[in-house]
Amino acid sequence: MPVRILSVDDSKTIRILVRKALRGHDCEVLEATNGEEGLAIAAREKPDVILLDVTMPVMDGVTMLTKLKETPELRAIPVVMITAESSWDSFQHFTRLGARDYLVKPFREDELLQAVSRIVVLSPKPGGTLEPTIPAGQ
Amino acid sequence: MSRGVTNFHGSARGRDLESLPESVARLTQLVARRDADLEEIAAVVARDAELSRRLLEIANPRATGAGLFVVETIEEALLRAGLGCALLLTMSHPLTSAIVRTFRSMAGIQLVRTPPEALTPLRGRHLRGTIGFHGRMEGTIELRMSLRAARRVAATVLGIPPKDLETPDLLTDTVGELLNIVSGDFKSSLCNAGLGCRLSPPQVEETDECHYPKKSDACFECMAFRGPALKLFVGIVVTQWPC
Repeated sequence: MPVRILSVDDSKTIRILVRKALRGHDCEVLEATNGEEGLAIAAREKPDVILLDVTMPVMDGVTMLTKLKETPELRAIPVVMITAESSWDSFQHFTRLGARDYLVKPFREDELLQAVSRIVVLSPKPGGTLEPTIPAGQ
Repeated sequence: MSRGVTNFHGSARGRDLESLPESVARLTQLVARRDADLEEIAAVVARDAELSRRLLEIANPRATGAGLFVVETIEEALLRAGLGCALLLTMSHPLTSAIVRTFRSMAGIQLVRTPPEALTPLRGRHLRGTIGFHGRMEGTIELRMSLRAARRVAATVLGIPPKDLETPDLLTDTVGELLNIVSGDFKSSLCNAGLGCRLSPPQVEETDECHYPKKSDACFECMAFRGPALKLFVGIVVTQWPC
């Protein structure tokens, strides 16, 4: 059973890098470009992990995280915040809101995999695809 | 070096909160305090030879050499140029670190800071990315590079040949993300020094225009970086100071 990972980031570059990092593993990558899309996909698909950018248009990552934790059927989905900022205030804020972990950009592929592997078991899948199961914007 | 993966309970947590050099941390804290004593600030500046040199240069805009300085002391230079200007010069240190770290980690490109006048200026159409920071200290960070260099950097980040960059949007998205990461890192330095701010979304565009915005109340520092087949110009413009 593939691990289902929802990548929420307005930057296509970061979504591509996430896909590249995960392509060799048995997982499905779902994508959203903002928190609003992310919430809708999370509610519909119930992913195993959400990789959530902080700064996004329409709905930012902190708002999406807050709404996830307020929704009983989504509250248990582990969230890894992805941010370019590394201030203590931000980290403490994410913790209080219920984020499981965080990644500071720029990150390496192995660092992303470590963060995901701390939450779910990632099995290798030779010849994994670069294409997301649900592309952003759908 | 990557800034790395961390977690709330992991032992690597502190690795991301890299400490600022002592002079940078001290000066930002003093300026942020509002009631800092001029002599105290001057003493911190004086301990940093490069910062002292740049501040005296700015306070003596017409001098063509150190021997022709009218303003000769750090205290006078601070009064002439303003504490905010000293802070700006100081903050160029963490901004330099953020740029070097981001390009090395994302694109494997080792950049070296170099005096802007040592590089041939960008001519013609090039890529300009800007991002604003707003809070007790307000301004913009601007990054410029040639279109060719931008394509090469973006392709390297994405791990594809430059010809495979599918759309111009992907080029601007990648450069915007690099700028976003640099600015986020810089913002963290400001926050950790007590100068919390928020960032506006990055804007990336092609332009022919090579001049920085000149507002009478603004101060800017131009920085340049050289890498393999790459030159990068970075400007930091500050329009509002914390003091």
